[in-house]
Amino acid sequence: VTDSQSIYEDLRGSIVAGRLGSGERLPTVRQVAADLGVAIGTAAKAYRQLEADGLVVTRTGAGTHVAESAALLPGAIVIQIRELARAANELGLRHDDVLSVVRGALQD
Amino acid sequence: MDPMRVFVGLLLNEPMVAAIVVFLVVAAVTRSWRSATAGLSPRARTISRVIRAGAIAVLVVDVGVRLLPGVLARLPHATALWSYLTPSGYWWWAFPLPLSATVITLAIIVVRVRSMPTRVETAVVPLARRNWLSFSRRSDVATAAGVGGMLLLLSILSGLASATDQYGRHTVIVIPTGEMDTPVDVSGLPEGSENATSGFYGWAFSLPVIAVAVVLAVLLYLVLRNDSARPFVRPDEAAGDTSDRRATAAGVWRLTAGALGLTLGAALALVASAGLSSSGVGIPEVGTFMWSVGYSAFAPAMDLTSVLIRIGATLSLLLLAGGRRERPVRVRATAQAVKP
Repeated sequence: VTDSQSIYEDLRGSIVAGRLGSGERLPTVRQVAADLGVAIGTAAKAYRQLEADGLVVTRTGAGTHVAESAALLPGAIVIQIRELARAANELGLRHDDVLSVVRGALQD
Repeated sequence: MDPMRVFVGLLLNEPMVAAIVVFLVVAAVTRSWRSATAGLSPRARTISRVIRAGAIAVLVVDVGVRLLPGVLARLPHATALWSYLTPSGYWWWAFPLPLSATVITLAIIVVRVRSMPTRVETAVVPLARRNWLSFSRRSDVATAAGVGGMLLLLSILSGLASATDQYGRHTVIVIPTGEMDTPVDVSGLPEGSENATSGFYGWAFSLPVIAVAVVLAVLLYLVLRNDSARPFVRPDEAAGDTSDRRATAAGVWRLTAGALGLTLGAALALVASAGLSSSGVGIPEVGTFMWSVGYSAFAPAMDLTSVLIRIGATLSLLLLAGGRRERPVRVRATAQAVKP
């Protein structure tokens, strides 16, 4: 059984760990509820808790975004890293090799 | 003589040769299905087979329409049937047929997907917002949208340029002959008209195409939305499921683009043929005067483009039917397991 607390903890963990970048748009409450098989109110409660903790910002009509101060990296960077990881996995590259090149590029 | 020309001539004019070629292609394609669907989930395998069968259906329908006159000409007492199918040369049904075959294919997918509900074993928290385009490649969307946009534009412009024939149907384009003392004597010239006409992709042809294309767009949206909206079964299958959804999205986009391409090619060929035709009148001791439509200078290029579009669409559908797959995506950071 999934409750609003576990949804909150998972999303919070993803934000703090850097899997979601600042400004990134979270899934809709409806999508989270449908994916987890819970009532919309349960997912909405988790979102309200995230907002109360300052981890996300909800604007009417614009959806829920990760707060600037909460994330490890900006959303644009996280999206590019995700695309890099996807491309590397598609090509079957060794993770160590990819990380080595990224480290080198960061030090250039 | 060029052997390729001989082969194409036999293919287009000898129904038995065409039937044998179609049989060989279908046999080769179906043999490749087993390997093409290996590694897919039962749901994705079912959808993949429907898409491939749909691609074959679209190709068979397209080739069948081209061969039908030749087949009927060889059958005794078939003239009446052909006359029934093409009243006064009005064969509007041939144009939206590839799109109709695609509509049926997508409708089958919608029904099949509804009959296979996802049973979640371990809930997976989504990290990415999913919409109907989430699993589609930009190149697939751009190709289908581009071909569809060109077909819509051509249908509207041709419809606006078309004129009515003697039965009141928008199936011709007027070839302006200017003011003449005597009307140009051209067969099919509307009574009392001083202008020649040529068969054209007018509203009578383009409106059915637009109507079926709209239905196709709605079904495409439904297939993609339903497949995108369903939850993941469990965390360790999220990556594979994402790959399956990408394969489904690529398949339906390519099927749609192929069918739209065949229709666009056929429509453009009819427009080009009107541009290539001309009407003339010979005046003794003066000379011969020829008239053609305003875009006739571009007609050869349009004719060549229509052939290239049809070849491209046919090859694309053959590759799809043959089971060409994208490299699978192994990992995606779009979801994670819910902690107990």
